[in-house]
Amino acid sequence: MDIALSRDVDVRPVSQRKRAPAESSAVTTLAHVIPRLYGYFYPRIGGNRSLAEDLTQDTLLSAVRSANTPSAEAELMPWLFSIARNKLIDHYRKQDRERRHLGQRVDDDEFELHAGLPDLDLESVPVRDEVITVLNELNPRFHAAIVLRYFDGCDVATVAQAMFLSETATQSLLARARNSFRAIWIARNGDSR
Amino acid sequence: MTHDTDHDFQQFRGKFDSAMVPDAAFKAKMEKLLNAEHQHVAAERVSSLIASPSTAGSATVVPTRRNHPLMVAAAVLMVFAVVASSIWVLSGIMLEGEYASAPGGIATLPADASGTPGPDIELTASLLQGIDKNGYLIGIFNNVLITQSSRGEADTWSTIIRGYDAESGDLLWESEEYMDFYTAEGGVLIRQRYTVSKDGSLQASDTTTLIALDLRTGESLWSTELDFQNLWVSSPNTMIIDDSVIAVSNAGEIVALSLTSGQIQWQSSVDPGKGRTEQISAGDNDLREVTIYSLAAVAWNNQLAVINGNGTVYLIDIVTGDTTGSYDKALFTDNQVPFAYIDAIALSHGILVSHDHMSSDGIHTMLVAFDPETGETLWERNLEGSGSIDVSDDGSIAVNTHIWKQSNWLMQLIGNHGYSTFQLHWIDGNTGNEILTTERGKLETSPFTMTNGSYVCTRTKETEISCYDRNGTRYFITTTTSGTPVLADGMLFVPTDDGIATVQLP
Repeated sequence: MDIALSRDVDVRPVSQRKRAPAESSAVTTLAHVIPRLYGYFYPRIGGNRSLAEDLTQDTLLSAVRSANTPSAEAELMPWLFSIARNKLIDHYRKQDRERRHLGQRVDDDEFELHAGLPDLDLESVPVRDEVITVLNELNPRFHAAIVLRYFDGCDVATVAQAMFLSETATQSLLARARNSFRAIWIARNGDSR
Repeated sequence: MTHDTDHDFQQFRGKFDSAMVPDAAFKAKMEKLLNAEHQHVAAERVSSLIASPSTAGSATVVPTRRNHPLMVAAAVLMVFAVVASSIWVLSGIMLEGEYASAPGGIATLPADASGTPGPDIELTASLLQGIDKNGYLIGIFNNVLITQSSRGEADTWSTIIRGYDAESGDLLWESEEYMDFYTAEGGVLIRQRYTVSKDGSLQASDTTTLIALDLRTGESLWSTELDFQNLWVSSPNTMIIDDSVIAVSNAGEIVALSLTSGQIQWQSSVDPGKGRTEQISAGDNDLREVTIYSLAAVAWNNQLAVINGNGTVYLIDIVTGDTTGSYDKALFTDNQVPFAYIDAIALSHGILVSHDHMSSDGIHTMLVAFDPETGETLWERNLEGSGSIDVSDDGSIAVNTHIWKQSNWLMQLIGNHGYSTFQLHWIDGNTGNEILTTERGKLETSPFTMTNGSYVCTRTKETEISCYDRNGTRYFITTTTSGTPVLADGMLFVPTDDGIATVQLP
């Protein structure tokens, strides 16, 4: 027995049905998500426009070329964002691989525990830009850890897997990343707590 | 004393997901590109999904005088119940058939047998005493186990290198410098040292230094500075051939040094092919634009074969550095990605090049073995999925390919969207024939794959490592790993949170 899937059933009157040009419609829909993907990448890679464009392009081309696409419209954006996050993790890994063992050494005396961040008005563009700038001043591993854990809300196990670390090492990395972020924030903006 | 919690960072969550309008030129370029892709890619599922008009809001059946709403509702419910239960049963059977052939989610299937799974045998790991448990396992060379550890809380980058006796675990030596990249032969370990600025950040530099250390004592034998372009952003291909160290930079520069003195014997260069431009921060907030290439080099039959990103093969005499020939192997002509990550490995009768290939039905791992002198293709394989690859000294090849396997729509209704899957291929490098293939199984963790010719080991579950022999027997070790194990002779060295454990394979 053939069973029609719900998405194949058009319940509109025949007179209202249109034969949509599939390709142009697909491209139009994907074109509409460009700002969403671009907006996802931009703050996560330090506000580098050309890199955000490259990653957006990679994500959309991977989506178009993928043989396994979501079968429900509501899953399209989550699916695209899962591809985008994988692209972002690939970017961080590549960055890490290329710079492994290359510095960002911090003197021991800088490792006092810094006060926490104040409550930030993250709807304000200057504040958001400042967060991105501070992120960009972190070393790449700190940067990646903060983004995955706090921007994307990944659990520690996922961050650990993305960064090829044990969970214990990841917890330690996150603690140092937070401390470093706070130190830079305070240096740039003062301790307003 | 301030306690370190992450409450102040929780405020970031979800605040950096808003849309941003990119440059109009980029948007226009993307639309053009996407249109072009549709000409090449048979993305019918994407197209049908996206082009399918939404039924939301239009699916309401308007009751008429002849159709009482309760009757319609009852009929709809009845039809739905019958259809759903039928598909439920069918989909369950389909998924069971696909994934129920355990043990452990995977079934061994010797390629030359009639589908009889090999037995499963559990092995136990024992902790190697005395080794820094935070050390990252680099490798085992001449029975010396090399680890790399962090300097401590103040430095996330691992910079303390230690050499241990691989049997006893005794510390032989340690050194503390900014170094990376290793190759070893004949008791000598070759490492690369970077230039690091005073504040500890990366310093843009067009030079790098190769250092030779005595493997048993850690004593520095020589160091030689190389004048390579952009070497600091990407690892060179470094190899030891007879009494020479050959280093091929990312940009196609080649240098040969004496293994005993570090003196430069010859220098040469080849066209690196297609590259990709990136802006890399270079300390003090400087940005430096660099071009990164994909280029692989492999030594074979007293020659160096360098394959660039265009698929051009250059042959270089290892003794003199003279380019003795070049030809276009056209490895990537159908490749839609502008930048291919390629790898080249020597086989007994040729060389093997592997790269990812994008096509309309997804990513494939392409393996091409060819005679580097003539360019003649010996065999080639096209494996579904993106794969990690390892090759043993005897030329047997282990490839673990990964693809996402999507559940049917009914399973998606209950939140089961699919699985990341793996399939392990063990291939005879001489013939291209499969020695062993596993059925495609569920991948539950980030995998690694390695072979020493007698075994292929892989991790596909968080707490289990599987090693297969050539008969399809699966040996498994129940342990968590904190890094990638090393397979040396008959011994598997596994980094764990408690230190490095060893497993004796039969």
